[in-house]
Amino acid sequence: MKKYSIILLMASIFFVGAASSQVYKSTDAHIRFVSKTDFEEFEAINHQPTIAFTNKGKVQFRVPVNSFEFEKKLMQTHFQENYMESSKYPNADFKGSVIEPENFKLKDGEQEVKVSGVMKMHGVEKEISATGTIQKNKNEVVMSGNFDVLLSDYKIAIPKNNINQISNRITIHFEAKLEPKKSK
Amino acid sequence: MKKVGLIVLILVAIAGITGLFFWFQPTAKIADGNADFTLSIEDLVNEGIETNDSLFNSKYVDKVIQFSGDVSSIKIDDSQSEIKLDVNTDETVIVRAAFDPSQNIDLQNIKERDSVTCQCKFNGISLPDDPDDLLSEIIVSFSRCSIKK
Repeated sequence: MKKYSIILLMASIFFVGAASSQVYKSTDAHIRFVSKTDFEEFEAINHQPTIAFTNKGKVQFRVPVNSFEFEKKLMQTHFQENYMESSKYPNADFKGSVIEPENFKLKDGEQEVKVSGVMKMHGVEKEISATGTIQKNKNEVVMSGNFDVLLSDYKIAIPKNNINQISNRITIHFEAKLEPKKSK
Repeated sequence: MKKVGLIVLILVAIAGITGLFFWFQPTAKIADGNADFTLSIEDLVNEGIETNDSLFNSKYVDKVIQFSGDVSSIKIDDSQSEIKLDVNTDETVIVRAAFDPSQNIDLQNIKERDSVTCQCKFNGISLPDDPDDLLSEIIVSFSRCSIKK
């Protein structure tokens, strides 16, 4: 009877271990966006995104919109108040998972990946995909990548007199270092 | 007639210089001046959890807040430094206060578990909207911080 109990216990530990995911959380991350038109190019950087990732390829980003820093004060004010309405929509979120390679599993070394999911920004949800790399070295995971978004998809209107300065297509670059989540 | 033309020219020049001044004005590195709110980080977080999101955000986001708390971790960096603070609530809360590198000199003597008073611009609180979220913590973000002695 004792023997069966030990086998049952070992089997439970094995199955629970196989089913649960290791969650990694960002310790250092930044997101940079670039707007480029024939007349003007500018960028803003945000050092405060929080990113979570599992060894099975689930990923989530949360980005406080007001943490984007611009070089010019006037641009920052317009971005926050007029375009992103950040007091109404203070965060941008992304939830998705690795779709390429299929049945992704995190392993040591570098892997090229395609991630797909839903981004919520300015109160609008939209399906997006991004390409990037995930690199695992012992306990540290580094992810980086980029993708484009159209401001019009998120109901962010550019005033007519700024149409030459701000591109409707914004390129977003991200890079993050992650470590296994510590239990509290 | 000549006089009127001269006045118009001066007014146009003043408007142009003012416009250029505002256009090239750099973004502030710290949220200085008087704080809009002074409160404990626990009070702010509890209000964020209990109050309707849009009311809370329109009250506090982009405002200058002075608050005190205990340091749980500190990272000093050339691009941006950051202090994380402990919060005594039942929820898991991460408070992130970002500092411009120009403030690094004031951060050098701060250690984990020190009590600090910061003045920052508040960027918002984010609550998990789904129990299955990978990001299950409440995240509170500040930037342009400075240490108040």
